Amino acid sequence: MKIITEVNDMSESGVVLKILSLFESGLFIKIVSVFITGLWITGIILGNIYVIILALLLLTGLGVVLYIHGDKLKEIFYGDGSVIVEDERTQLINEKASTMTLGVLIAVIIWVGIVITALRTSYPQYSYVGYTLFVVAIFCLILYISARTYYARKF
Amino acid sequence: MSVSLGAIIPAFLAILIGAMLSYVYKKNTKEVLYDERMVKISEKSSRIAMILFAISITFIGLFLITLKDLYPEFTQVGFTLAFSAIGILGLYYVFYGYYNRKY
Repeated sequence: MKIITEVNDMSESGVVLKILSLFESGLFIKIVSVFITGLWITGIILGNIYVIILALLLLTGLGVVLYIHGDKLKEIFYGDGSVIVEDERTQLINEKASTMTLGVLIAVIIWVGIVITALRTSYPQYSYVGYTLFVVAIFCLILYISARTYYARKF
Repeated sequence: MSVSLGAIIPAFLAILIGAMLSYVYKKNTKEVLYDERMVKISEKSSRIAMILFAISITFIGLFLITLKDLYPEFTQVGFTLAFSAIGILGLYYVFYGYYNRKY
């Protein structure tokens, strides 16, 4: 009788573990990601800030789960630990593409900002856009300088 | 100055002259401006800065667009940020494709 009870307990804990592992599975994370994207779109369409906050909270939760299982991400998403997500070549391509993107982006943002701000007498309705682009460019430069300082100390 | 006056032609001229001067200066400089370490630091910092920047402006843009009923004057700013985020992604994939073929 005692043995049967223990077997039942074990099977129950097995079910609980299976349910818990479902939350950490790649499919569940993908479904949550799609749901969060849906919330973003719904929030924008409805103009409802609470939906956006809910999406942000869910995204934070998802981020925490992914951070905790950072070393198991390959298994979670690919089901096979031997799959290489990023090798040295893709890392090199990513870094080079990012450098070019950031350089071109900052230049374009500053140029467009200058043009729009210069045209503010003709098109005063776009003056906010011009100022925003300047602020965005400064923000981007600050981020870049901070990251550069960090990596210069690290290497 | 052209920006403060609201004139477009001096602004274009300033950008053009600045780009030309920068090109001529780089062409005439013979000393080593970058070593491998600096290139590596620059690339790594660009990557993390680009990711953080894209995420930040996407969220700020989304918030501003969502709050269009409360703060309608910032909706345009929100759209500018959202389009900038799309621009980043577009540029990134173009350059990724280019370097993917190159290496």
